[in-house]
Amino acid sequence: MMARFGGVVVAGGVLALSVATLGEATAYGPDYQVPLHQPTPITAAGFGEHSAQCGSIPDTEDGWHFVLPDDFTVFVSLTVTFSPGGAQTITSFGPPTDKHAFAGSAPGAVLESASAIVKTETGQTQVLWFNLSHTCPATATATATPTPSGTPTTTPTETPTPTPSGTLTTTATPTVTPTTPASPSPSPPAPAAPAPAPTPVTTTLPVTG
Amino acid sequence: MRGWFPRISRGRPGRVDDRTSAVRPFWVGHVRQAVAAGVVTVAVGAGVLATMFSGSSGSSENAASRIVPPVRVPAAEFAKLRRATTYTSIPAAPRDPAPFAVTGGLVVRPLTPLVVYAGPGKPPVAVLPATELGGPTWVPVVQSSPGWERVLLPSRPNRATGWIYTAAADRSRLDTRRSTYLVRIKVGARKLSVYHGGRPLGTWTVTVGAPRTPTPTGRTFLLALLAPPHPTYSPLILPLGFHSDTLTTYGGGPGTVGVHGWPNPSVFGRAVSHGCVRVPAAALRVLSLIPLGSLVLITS
Repeated sequence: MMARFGGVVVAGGVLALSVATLGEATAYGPDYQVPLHQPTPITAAGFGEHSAQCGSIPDTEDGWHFVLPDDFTVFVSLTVTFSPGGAQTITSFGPPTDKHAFAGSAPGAVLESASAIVKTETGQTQVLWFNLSHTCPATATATATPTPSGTPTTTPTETPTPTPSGTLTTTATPTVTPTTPASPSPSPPAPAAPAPAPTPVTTTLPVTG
Repeated sequence: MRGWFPRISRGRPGRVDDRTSAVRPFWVGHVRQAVAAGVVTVAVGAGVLATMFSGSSGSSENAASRIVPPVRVPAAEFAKLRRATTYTSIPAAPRDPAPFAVTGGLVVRPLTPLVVYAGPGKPPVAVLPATELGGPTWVPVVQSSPGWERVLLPSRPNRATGWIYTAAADRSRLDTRRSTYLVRIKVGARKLSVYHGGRPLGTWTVTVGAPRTPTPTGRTFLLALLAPPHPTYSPLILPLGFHSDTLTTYGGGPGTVGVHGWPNPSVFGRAVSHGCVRVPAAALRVLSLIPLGSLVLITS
């Protein structure tokens, strides 16, 4: 993971330098990495907050709208990993500002992970995470031509994926509940899906400071 | 392929939703459904298990025949069993047989309260609730037996474990995942390291317990990720499954050992805490990404 973000950090640093020389004199602190606040996996259809439009994401794709939780921090880069679809790194943000980021995925794709490189104005408090504000489930059918093949097969995977079909439709809504094989075994019978990143709970517990 | 390239968004600003609060976690619905389905572990006879696995291979049939069914727990007894939380003590819980071993990373989350047994076929000792400190319960698996998993418990005494029945009849009530993270804390060296997939993500100099209130050693786990509503010394606190061996209570709490930040960096590298591990902000940020239930190995 660190190796993957290493490149992102470098790219983000170049972008930050460009913005600093071209834009107004907003001074930012160093880039840093923050996690997505919401636990993954998430499907666009299964997410609780929907909207009709997510930036310029076409309505043939699931749209994902991420925001930062304060007015002093902006995205430098956003890396999201979908299944299917793999990882994509986004370096152009807004509208309306660089605290908003949009991503598109195949309809029904599962957001497996998301992480961002951000920067905060000098003197302001760094943020601890970013949020998935809402999703825009695909509403139109793409005229995708499937790759010719023999008999379509569905390979069992850790994370369910939409069943292949001739066209991509919004009816492909995978279940994100992880499966656990029924076969008993002294050791884990099959690879378990990755455990989700935690979501902070707003409460307190006196620990042995 | 387009998703691999930078995207310039031109959406309608009027539709931008600026909310920043968290939404309901996806697992809430699952938990509610599971709770509605019942909370008492149902004893499953060997004959039923044999039928369930009759379509499997011969080895599976053998495995099924080896599964020890759980002791039946009537609802009244279930209600009386102590909940395995950071606030409770489970004296009857068997101790961790290998307190310094690294596990395979398996973590489990009960979707509904599960009975914890002293061993396969042995009496119940507690109930593992579906939530801990307001979040989902995740505990690491430290040993497996056909149809059963041994997990670390968040209760006193330190190194308490228990067995949960995970055969087919109960699989629907258990979320099984794998964490590839490992946190190592070397008390003597006052170092905390985080590994992901066996590769180090970072090592930081930290504060550990003072000689009179030492940080307990052994393997434990990340119990929760808390964001205090009015933070004083740290924006995040990560309670562990361990408790102080010298303090039965601390600050009104049960003496839970935690990992958290500290505003004064001069404490890092010193043994001055009451058992908690104080870490720099960079370490706290990395730790906040690690799944709950992930193993924390504390050595002297």
